Amino acid sequence: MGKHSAKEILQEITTNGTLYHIVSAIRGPDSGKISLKHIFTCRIRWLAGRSGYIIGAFRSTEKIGFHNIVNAVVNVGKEDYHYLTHVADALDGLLELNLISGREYDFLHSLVWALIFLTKNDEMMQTYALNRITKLTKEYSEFIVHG
Amino acid sequence: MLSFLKKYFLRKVVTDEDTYLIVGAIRGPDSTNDSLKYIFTARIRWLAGINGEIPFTLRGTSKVSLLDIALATEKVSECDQHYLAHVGHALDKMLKLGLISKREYDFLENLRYGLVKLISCMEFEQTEGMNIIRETIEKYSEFIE
Repeated sequence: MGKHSAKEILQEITTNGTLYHIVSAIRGPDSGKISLKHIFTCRIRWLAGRSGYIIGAFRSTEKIGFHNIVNAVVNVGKEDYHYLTHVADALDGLLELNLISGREYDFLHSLVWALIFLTKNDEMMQTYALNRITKLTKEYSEFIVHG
Repeated sequence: MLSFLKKYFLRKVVTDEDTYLIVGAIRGPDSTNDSLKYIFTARIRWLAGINGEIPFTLRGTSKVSLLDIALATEKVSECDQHYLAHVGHALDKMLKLGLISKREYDFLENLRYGLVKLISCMEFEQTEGMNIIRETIEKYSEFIE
């Protein structure tokens, strides 16, 4: 495979729907919420590159601290809706390219959708989301580090 | 495109500073400031090579309307600061790669800088921001519809 210039890479990335969806989640949330960025963007960057040369913060382990989930749940707001929908699309893209295991995809995808529901000003949706997240932490306990 | 090529390009994006900083502005702002998205992201997408095959907001012309600038100015807020910082990095890299003319770069960069100043809670900075935006509109009138 020849060496590609930044221009060529950019052209390829921005004219392919799957790649476009993945790179649109490369930037963290504009709200600056560190937990959301750590759980999703840092992991997406790693899964996209799997290299120590990745620019910006990345998460090379599939495990996340329980406190990260708690922080994300407590702090997520409607200002994060746009970011979270892009994360959901990016996860779909990573799965399509076999860059994420089915099990980790299910965990992160379920978590992101529960957080999207939490951004809605609807008590029923928020209750459902909280129950879903509680179940997720048990169902996918291998991805969570306590303490 | 073959799957291994997609993976190759993806890896390049996250390990190459130039492309990484440009794609950081490919997603619009997380706020509901659609005019910001139209002025900056839609143009960056177009200049980066996005074609009509991907159904996202694009700006194929270098001109923006006064109305969009006015709406962006009115609605810009603290939550847009992160986005605008990434737009600045993306514009710098696009200039370096020859993807944007120096004149259009100066127009968008000045506009961006004026908007960043407006976010400040200091009154004198907000006034400076408004002055920068006003001067930018006058100086780069060829980019205004």
